[in-house]
Amino acid sequence: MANSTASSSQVLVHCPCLNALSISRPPPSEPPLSTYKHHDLSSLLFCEECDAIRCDTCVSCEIACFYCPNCLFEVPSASVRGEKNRCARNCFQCPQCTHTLSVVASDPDPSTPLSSAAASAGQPPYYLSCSYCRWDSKEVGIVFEKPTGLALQLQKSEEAAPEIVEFDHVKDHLEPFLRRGQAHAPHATTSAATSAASASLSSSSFLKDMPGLGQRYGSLFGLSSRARGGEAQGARDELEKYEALFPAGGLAASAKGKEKGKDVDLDAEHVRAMREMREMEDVASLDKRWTSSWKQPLLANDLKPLRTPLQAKRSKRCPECKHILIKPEQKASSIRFKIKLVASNYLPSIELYRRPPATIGSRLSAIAAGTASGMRRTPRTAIGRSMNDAGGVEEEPLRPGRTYTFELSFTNPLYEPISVRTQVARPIAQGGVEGAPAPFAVSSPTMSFPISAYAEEWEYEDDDDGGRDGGEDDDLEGGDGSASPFKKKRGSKYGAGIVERKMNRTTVALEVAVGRDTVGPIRANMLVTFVYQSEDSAAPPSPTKSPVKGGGHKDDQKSFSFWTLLPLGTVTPRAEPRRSMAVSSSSG
Amino acid sequence: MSSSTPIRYSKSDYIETDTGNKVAKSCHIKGPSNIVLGGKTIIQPGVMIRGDLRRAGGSGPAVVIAVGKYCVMGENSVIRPPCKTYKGVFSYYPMKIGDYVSIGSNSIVEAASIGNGVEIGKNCIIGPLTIIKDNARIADNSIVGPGTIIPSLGEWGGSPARPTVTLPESTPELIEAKAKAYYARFQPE
Ligand SMILES: [Zn+2]
Ligand SMILES: [Zn+2]
Ligand SMILES: [Zn+2]
Ligand SMILES: [Zn+2]
Repeated sequence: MANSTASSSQVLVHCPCLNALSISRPPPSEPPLSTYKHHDLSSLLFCEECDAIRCDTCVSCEIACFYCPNCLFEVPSASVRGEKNRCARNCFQCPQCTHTLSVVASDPDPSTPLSSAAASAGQPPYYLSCSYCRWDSKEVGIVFEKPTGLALQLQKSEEAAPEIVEFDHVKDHLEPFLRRGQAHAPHATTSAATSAASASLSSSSFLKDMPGLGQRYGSLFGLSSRARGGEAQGARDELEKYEALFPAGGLAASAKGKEKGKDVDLDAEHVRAMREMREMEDVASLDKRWTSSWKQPLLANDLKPLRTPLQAKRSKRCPECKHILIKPEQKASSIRFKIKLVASNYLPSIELYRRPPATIGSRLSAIAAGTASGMRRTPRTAIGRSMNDAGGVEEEPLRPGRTYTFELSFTNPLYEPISVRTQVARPIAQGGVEGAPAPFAVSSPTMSFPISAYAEEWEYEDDDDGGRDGGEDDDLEGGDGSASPFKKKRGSKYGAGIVERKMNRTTVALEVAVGRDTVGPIRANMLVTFVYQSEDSAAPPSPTKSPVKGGGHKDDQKSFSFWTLLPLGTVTPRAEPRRSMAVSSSSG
Repeated sequence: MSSSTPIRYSKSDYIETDTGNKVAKSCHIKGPSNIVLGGKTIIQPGVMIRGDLRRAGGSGPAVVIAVGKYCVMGENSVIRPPCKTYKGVFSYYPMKIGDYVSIGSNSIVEAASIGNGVEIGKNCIIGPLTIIKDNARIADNSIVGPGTIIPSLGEWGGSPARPTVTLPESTPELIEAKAKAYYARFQPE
């Protein structure tokens, strides 16, 4: 694949996240603001009911099922809490490297012949071993008599650990308080969410609870509760003082002390260990101490194996109408969904590709033209040819003052033809400086163009260059190998600016004139509006919807608009040491 | 180049089978009678496939490596059945690779099973007896430890590889379309 340096990029799609879409005001095109609102089409969802794009940040999520990522066992939600969100079967992670541990037997007697079954089966005691970093649980004194039911065996010692006992004690202390708070919290705005909230982690309702959090923490730490309201409020705001079971900061100390049956000064022990230390790795790293354990041992050789954390499959709801957009199958290993409304089935996907510079002549004229007004179109002859041009020319950065031709390929996922209109917003001056010249100017010769409907049989068509001898007749998937329904047409037949129409894909050209003083990445906001026939029988985009009022005829046209972001590239001025020196001396 | 531009290869460098598999002549394919390719699979130059490492004690033909359709094995990747000693018997175990699977260049794969639509990056090591479920993705330069189980739609990366993100719900369709498009673009000069 010597010449497969593909450098086309997917155009990003904007999700208005419940805000009304403004045709005249483009969304922010500069990061960091742009990053959170623009997404790959493949990661977006679509609500048919609202006729709107939805993204992962605006949908509300619910847990559909919990499962262990290692043994793929689906854990009933009732037992998830009791098992502390971790697998209660035989799945453990290495405390050093997080690789899944395997249960191994101790080596058999050395006299056993190596080829015998006993030699590979081994004998008790059993222990956990990491096949990645060679850590084993004997290092921390964990061995088993039987190779089964290990989680249960470990859970017993885990439950008795002082940090777990303390944590459960804190939970018991807070639970009645939280329950009282929940009962009184104003949830009127999220009635649908609260009805499902008992088992769910609806992100929106969680956020609504956040303001109350500070209040709760206030009383948790015994801050003045009287200042925040009268006696009546006090009944549910008041939290009794918490009495710790173990002395503060002395958890580990008391545990260790108990183990050895005597009081141990843990600090002194650490100091001694550190004096003898030869390698940094002997200290447990922060992420291991903080994220992978209740106990937070200082020394790496105190880290214990961890039960594998569970993962969850999530259902997703439209935040507006509460309809389900995503509903996975319960089975952990299944990739099927009972409901799956993804945007790529509703909106055309758009691909952006920068043509390599066509000819020296057009390059010179582009440099000479400089500004947007003087911009000239690339000669037509170059367009057809460049499609077969391979090579990494386009990896070159953009240069100030030059004009570039881009191609936009639209692919229609609908079973009906659509007509697309694009409109590139006037770019905002870099850094938001008022009155500064625009960093670039975009001109598109096409106002509106058609895209044919999607058809299944086209997936296997291969009419790229008429010279093929039809060697694809043995198609596995039932392509009938008949002649393409779409003969490739040449140049001007498509209309101005349309580079190519092929199957359910239309490619148009776009010219970008980069400003003389522009530096850095440039991105363009493009509004895409597509029009389709809304027929009653049509499957997508909206089979469940009733016909538009007053219409109901076959020639009912419906349209949908969305903003996109075109990553045009990065402008880098040519290295000109003398000039840049002059600039820096004059400005400084 | 745009995603519809053909990727040209020299016709003399590849063998095309009846079912549309395109196998580079510079590949090292051992035990070809034990290897099944599902059709329209592309095996790029320098790839090593060890169909000769078969289960202990068997005789006659056996399927050692089964590959689905529309797969791509990147340059210089190594596909090798996993082995282990069980009850005193050392043996290789067959490997199954689903449809629309792509394996990046220079990666070494000793998995027991790879589901449909799995993407393995460049320079990866997929440890022995690993099980990778449908539409999971392994980032470039990752090392997947022996026996790891990677759930469907999970993206894993690093060394040892651990979960990074969950891939979007539309991934299966996206990968299938990508795999078919790549095959359609891969044409002789
Ligand atoms: Zn959103
Ligand atoms: Zn498990
Ligand atoms: Zn390890
Ligand atoms: Zn909705």
